[in-house]
Amino acid sequence: MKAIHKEFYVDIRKTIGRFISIFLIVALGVGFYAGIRSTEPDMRLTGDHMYDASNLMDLRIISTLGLEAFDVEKIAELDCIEKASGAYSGDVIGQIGDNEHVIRFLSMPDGINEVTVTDGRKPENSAECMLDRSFMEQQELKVGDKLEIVSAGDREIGDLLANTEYTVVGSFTSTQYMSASTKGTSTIGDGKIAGLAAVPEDAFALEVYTEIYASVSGAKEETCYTDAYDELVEAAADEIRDKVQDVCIQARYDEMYQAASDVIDEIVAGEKEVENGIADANQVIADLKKQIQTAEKGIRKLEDGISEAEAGKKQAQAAIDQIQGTVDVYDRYIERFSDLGYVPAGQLTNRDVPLEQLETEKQQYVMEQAPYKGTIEQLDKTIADCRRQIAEIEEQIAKAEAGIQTANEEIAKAEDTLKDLQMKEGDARAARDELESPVWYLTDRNSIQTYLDYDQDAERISRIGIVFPVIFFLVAMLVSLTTMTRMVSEQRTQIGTLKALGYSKFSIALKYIRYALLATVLGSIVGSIIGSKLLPVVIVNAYHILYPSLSHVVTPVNLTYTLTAMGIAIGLVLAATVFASYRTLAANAAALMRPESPKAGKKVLLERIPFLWNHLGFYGKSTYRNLVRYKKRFFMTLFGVSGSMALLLVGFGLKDSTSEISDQQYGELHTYNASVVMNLSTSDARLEEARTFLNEDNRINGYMEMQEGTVTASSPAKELTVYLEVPKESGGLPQYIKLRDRADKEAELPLTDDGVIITDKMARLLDVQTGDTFLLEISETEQKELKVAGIAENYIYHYIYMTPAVYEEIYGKKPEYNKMLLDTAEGIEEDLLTSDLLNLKAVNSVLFNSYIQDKFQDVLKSIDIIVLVLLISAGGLAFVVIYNLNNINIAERKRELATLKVLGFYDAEVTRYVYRENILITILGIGVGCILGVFLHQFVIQTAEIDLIRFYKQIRGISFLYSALLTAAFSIVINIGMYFKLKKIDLATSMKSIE
Amino acid sequence: MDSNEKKQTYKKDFVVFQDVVKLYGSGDATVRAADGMSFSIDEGDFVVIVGPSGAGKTTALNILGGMDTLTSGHVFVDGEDIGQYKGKRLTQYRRDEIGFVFQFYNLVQNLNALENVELASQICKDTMNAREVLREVGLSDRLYNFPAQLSGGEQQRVAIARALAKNPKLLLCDEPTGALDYQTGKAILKLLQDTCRQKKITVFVITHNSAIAPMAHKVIHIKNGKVDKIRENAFPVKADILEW
Ligand SMILES: Nc1ncnc2c1ncn2[C@@H]1O[C@H](COP(=O)(O)OP(=O)(O)OP(=O)(O)O)[C@@H](O)[C@H]1O
Ligand SMILES: [Mg+2]
Repeated sequence: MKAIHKEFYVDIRKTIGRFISIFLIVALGVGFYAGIRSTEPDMRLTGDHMYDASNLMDLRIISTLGLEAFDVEKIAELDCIEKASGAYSGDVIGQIGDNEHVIRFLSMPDGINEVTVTDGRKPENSAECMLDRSFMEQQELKVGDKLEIVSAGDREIGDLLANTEYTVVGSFTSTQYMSASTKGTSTIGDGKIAGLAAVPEDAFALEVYTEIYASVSGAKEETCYTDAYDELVEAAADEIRDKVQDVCIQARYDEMYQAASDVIDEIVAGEKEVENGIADANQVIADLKKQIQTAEKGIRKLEDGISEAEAGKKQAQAAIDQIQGTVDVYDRYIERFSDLGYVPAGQLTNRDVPLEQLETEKQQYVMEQAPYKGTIEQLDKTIADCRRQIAEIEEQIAKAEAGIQTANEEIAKAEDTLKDLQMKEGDARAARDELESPVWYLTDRNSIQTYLDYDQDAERISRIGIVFPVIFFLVAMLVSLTTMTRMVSEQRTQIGTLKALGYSKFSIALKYIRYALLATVLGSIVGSIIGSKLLPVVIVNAYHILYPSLSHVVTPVNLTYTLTAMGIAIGLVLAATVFASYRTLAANAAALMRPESPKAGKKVLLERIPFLWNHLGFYGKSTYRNLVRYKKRFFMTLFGVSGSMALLLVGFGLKDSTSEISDQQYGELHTYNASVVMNLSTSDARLEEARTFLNEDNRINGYMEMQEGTVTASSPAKELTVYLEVPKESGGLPQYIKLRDRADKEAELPLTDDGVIITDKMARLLDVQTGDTFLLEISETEQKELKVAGIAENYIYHYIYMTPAVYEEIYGKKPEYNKMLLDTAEGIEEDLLTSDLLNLKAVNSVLFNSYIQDKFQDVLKSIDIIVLVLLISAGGLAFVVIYNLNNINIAERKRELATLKVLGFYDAEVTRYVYRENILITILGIGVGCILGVFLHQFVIQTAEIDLIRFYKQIRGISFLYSALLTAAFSIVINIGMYFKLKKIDLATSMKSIE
Repeated sequence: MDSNEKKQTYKKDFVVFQDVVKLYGSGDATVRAADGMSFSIDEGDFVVIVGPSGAGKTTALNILGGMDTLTSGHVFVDGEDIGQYKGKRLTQYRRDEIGFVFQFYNLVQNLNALENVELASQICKDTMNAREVLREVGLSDRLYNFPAQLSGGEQQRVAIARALAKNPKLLLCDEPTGALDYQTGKAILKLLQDTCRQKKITVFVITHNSAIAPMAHKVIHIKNGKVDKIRENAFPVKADILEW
């Protein structure tokens, strides 16, 4: 055994080329396998690290009625919840410079969904904000720019935000919004969120939180995307549903019911007050009426008094008059008899009566009059007094009557108010009766589009990871098979000797097994380390374009995959070794001591066609016979070379497929040169001004108006975010956007009122065909069915095209043409036209397709890395097999080659003789590789394709040429290296003995 | 056959070895495989080289055949000092003037008998018809057989035919009968001798079998890298009457 042991290392040293062949091919296979397979878990792990670092929420709760601090508290109280925070968000249309964009404002809760500041600083007051980095980059914004809020959709800006102008103080990335291109849809503007703004809580003017973010206890320790994580989060969600949701919903309902009841009570109280007022007024009226009555009674009494007094006066007057009569009589007598100075007797009395007497008597009578006069005077006074009193009372009555009037008016008014209040009460009661409990929606990270996309991308890579290593493993097996076959046949005599010495079959076989095993294990270790450290980084870097916020890639050596790959490699190599050695080992010692009878040359098929055969010459004849004779080597080399060719083809093909995307999309289909987004909120005159400009500027050949918006389309198979395009006149569409069948490029699809035209990838994802229907989300609660009238070729994004009539039928309103597609003249200065257009008040933004195409070139750069990896692997593959083939060929045919040299063949002729075979296999390999490569490319494209993009399936002719040339170059380089080995063959020694 | 008669039409000293030294290895391990060998051979001679194992026979023949270079001394063939040849010139010399026959035939396994012969003839200018040569070596009905389908003697004949097809000046045979039985060996020797006579080719045969010596015009005994002695036979014996 010791002898064998020692010999083992000598063997390796002597056959180091073969050892390296096995080592390299195994390293390639294992490296590729372990590398690509680990990319999936590595991507997930990288994602997990990133999510954990930013404390990305595990659960998100939204409610139809918003959420309150109470809800946050209740959720936070649960044991399964580590942290819960209320947050605000809302979409606005913001203007920066000349352009308007839909921007989603987000509050920045502490310790959850944290954003990473990539430039500048966090906002410190309610008038500052950060914008997301990709938006800043896309729009070429910088810190210090001002963001002005133009609209908040249906609500007032002031209801949502505290300010209308924000200063950009920094940029950020968020793991909640990882994608640079898709940040979600909105109900305002064109429906597509262009940018994100992070602001402090107090920048919001909302009364309730729009959402609550929660992290689940222990979820950080789990790796996201795993079942363990999903289960943990699902359990927490269930607990919130079971323990908190109903309580909070009830509390919120009760609170709202109470509020509604309070409103009703208030109204009712108001009603009562008014009613009381009315009653009071009525009382006042009654009182006043009584007063009037009393007063009128008083008047009547006074008037009675007056009449009485008048009567008294009359009586007194009568008495006076009566007395006056007597006085008059005296006067008459006095007057008549004044001359006499007496009244003769007889006249009155029978005596003369002096006048004096008469006078005295008259005076007595006059005196008698006086009391009566006093009475009259008294009565006059009384009457006057009464009169005055009456006047006074009448005044009072008038006043009272006015009071009644006023009170009546008041009552009328109060009754109106009452009616009003009663109506309000009715409304309030109805509102309270109609009051509904809020509905909660609990979502997890799967509601984050990029979280899902990222996972799918990882899975895709993993699927690709299965095919490539198959090639390497297959070649590894063939390489080991040929190498070990050669080893065993070289050491035939030695094996015989060992057998004769009494070594067991197994202990001899062990040597070869150990040889192969050592190469394989070393190859596996080196391969898996390099592969799993390098490939994930390369691949994830390529994904950076899609996920700019992707952080440092985590690449632990994944033992499962390493061991699997190592296991496969060891299994294959061992099988090959055993297969290669078992026949020799089974032979008896004596037979082994005799030289092996050379393999008989054989007639090949081609010999039966003398016409061709006779034209071949010796090189050709020998080559063909060799190929047939050494089948293992032939297939090894063929597989290796064709694998190399296929890998190159896949690499270049990938590049073609991606670069063709934009060429096809913008060169063939979207043939308009630029799109202009209009500001529909400006005046019609401004819009007209813009149209006039578009009509008259000679840099513009024509334009088409259309409405563009983002909508959600769904079928049982899938839900997609797509563009809805409504061209004003479908007739003019082909000049700007070609809708054509993929298979029959000449067949234009007419856009009619019979249905909509959708793009092919969308049709495939929704799994619908022409004539089928799918659902279009009109609002959050309403979906409408649309009929597919045609499926159009398309590469980037998804589109639904519909006529204005169909739009009106579905949405119940006319489309608003917010976009103009321009057909511009050749060779214009795009920058100049852009700024001219932006000077128009009605123009919001201008985008040239050439700009998009340029951007696309950046994406291609990421593909270059993958092409390079494939190129290196292809080179490695070609190197290993051709090197191995030459190595074995030269070793085995040393005598044959020496014979040729002895015969006088020049080195070049000998080389040609050997290389014929290589050249032929290389050519054959290139041919087979073409076929293999086309299939492999199809597979990779199909697996690698993301939903938004349809890859171009064809590989360009030039790529076939490049791949073939490179494969040939690999072959030539290795063969040139071998030339020197050929030259060194020593004639004298190689002819000396039988091998 | 009269040797004197022959010698009138053939060049004298056609092959001349002058103090040929060949060293293998270096330092302490230096082996003096040829240690000042000198001899001279006329055109058309049938030469047999004998000597103990390791004496330097193969070394001498290889140097003569342009398969190996010498360390010092001169080897003249037809007046040219081929000892000074190197690289392509040496290959060209092999190609045009030398025919080799080895103990183990060294046929190309992939080519049939005819093709093996054609392989040699296609690279030379002045060649013989392959079928013709094979007929001459008695293999006209085995033209399309592959080496593995032929016996050892037949293979050696193919090898000889291949060497002859080139129409060489020198036919060098290193133990051509070493791997063959008595009868076959004899037949091969006869073939070589006949060839030498009829085609007027100078033939060198290395052998361990001293019984063959009477066949030769000259027998060179080599010992320790030196020519021990040279024996000349005025009347070489024909191979078919030779016994050993
Ligand atoms: N390539 C070589 N390297 C080192 N030594 C060599 C080499 N070739 C031959 N020798 C040595 O040169 C000496 C002469 O060898 P050569 O082959 O000429 O002997 P030989 O007379 O042909 O013997 P044999 O009858 O056994 O074939 C021997 O001692 C041999 O060991
Ligand atoms: Mg020898």
